[in-house]
Amino acid sequence: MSFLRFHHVFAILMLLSVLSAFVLPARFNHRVSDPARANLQGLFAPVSHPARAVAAWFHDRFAARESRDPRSSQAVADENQKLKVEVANLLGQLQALQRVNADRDRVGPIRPFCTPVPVIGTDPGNRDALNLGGATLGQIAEGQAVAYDLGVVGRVERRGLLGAQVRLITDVGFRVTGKFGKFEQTPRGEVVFTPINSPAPLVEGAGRGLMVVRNLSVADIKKAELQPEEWVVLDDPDWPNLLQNRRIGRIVSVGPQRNHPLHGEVVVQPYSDLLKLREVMVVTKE
Amino acid sequence: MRWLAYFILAYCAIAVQSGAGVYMAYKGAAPNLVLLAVIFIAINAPRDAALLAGFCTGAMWDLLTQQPLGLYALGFGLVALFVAGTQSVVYREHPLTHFSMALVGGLLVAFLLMLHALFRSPEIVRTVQNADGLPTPRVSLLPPFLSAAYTAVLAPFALAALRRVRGVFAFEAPRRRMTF
Repeated sequence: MSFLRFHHVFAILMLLSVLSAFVLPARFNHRVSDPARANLQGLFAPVSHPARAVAAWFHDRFAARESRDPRSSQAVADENQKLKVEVANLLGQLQALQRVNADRDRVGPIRPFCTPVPVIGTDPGNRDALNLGGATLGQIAEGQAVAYDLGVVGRVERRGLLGAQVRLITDVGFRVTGKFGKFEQTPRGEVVFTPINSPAPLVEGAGRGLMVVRNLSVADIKKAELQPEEWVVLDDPDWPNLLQNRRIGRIVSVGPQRNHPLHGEVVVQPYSDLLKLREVMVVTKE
Repeated sequence: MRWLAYFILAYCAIAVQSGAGVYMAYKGAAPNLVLLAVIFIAINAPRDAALLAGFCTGAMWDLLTQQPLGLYALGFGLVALFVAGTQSVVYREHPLTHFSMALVGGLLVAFLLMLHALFRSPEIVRTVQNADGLPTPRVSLLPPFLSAAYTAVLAPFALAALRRVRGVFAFEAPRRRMTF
């Protein structure tokens, strides 16, 4: 191929890239490219999965573990004991309820309703997404909710023969509605989860492992007395019932928006770094 | 250039970036191993092969990301164009060349991502009634720029390591015997 011809071919390729990335509507772009991407992304699994496992091992062994809990270990141990009792009590109540009403057998631990799928990689670009692989892919479908043992993860964005991609709740543009809540101790010494009375917060992905609530006014936030470390849980009719009230994250900071001082900004962070999960649970049965 | 060797390098770089990149990240910015592979190819291969390799590597990367198809193909194509264009005026094996190429290449990709974030906001999963007045969310712009600096620091070491296996790629075009 002469230089002139190659030069033309390269220019056309670059022009097509510009059109695809900057001009074509995102929805159209995804509709056209996602089936191919979903089927081809799994091809990287033979290297990315072991590379991730090795990197995770090194990270666990050598990286300093950061603690996000300001309480003393004794306080945490005490609370754990109380929570264990509480959980045992609640499970007993649930089992009784499940016996009474067959419809309620969806309430309780979510594990039986989920398919565990290993994470083989992350979005190598600047978006928050997980690439899934493994033998259990056949059971999952696009749009299914994804969780892990400590909260909500996101939704299956695309699925192919060899892989699937989960868009995380922290990815920019991802929106769910939730509610605020906190753990309080009753006069009898029981620790109970109490919802905080406020307008429904819209939790938006902000990228870099964070989420933000921007639809509340400063007055709403003051009235609700929101504080760091309080929880945000899922309360969204578009999500499966068994994930309702499941933790989305914890409040990291509360304040006014920089450009709109009358509107509040609540920054929320998942309990774990979702990009470092090694396995997720896809809700395949509802 | 041996294309099989190129594909193995690109495949491994993308797979390791996807699998282990998050564990190498500092302040949310991971080093861009794929960019280093593109620079290695573009700095050594003949111009046409370098441009095509840069574009193809970006297209392969596009398979794994949420961004629209073509964004990274365009970015790495531009990086290959820049690096291949400077082949004759730089000392290819000097660490400072590797550092500066990686820094400029990383900034080029970061600038492209910034342009994309300015003009095209990510697709919103669903519309919510009480969110009508909210401004469109934007992708954070800091990590790609931090990543460019991180990648530039790693570049002299990574490219020196790759230089040791340079023979596998057979970059040199067969020399023609001059006859008079």
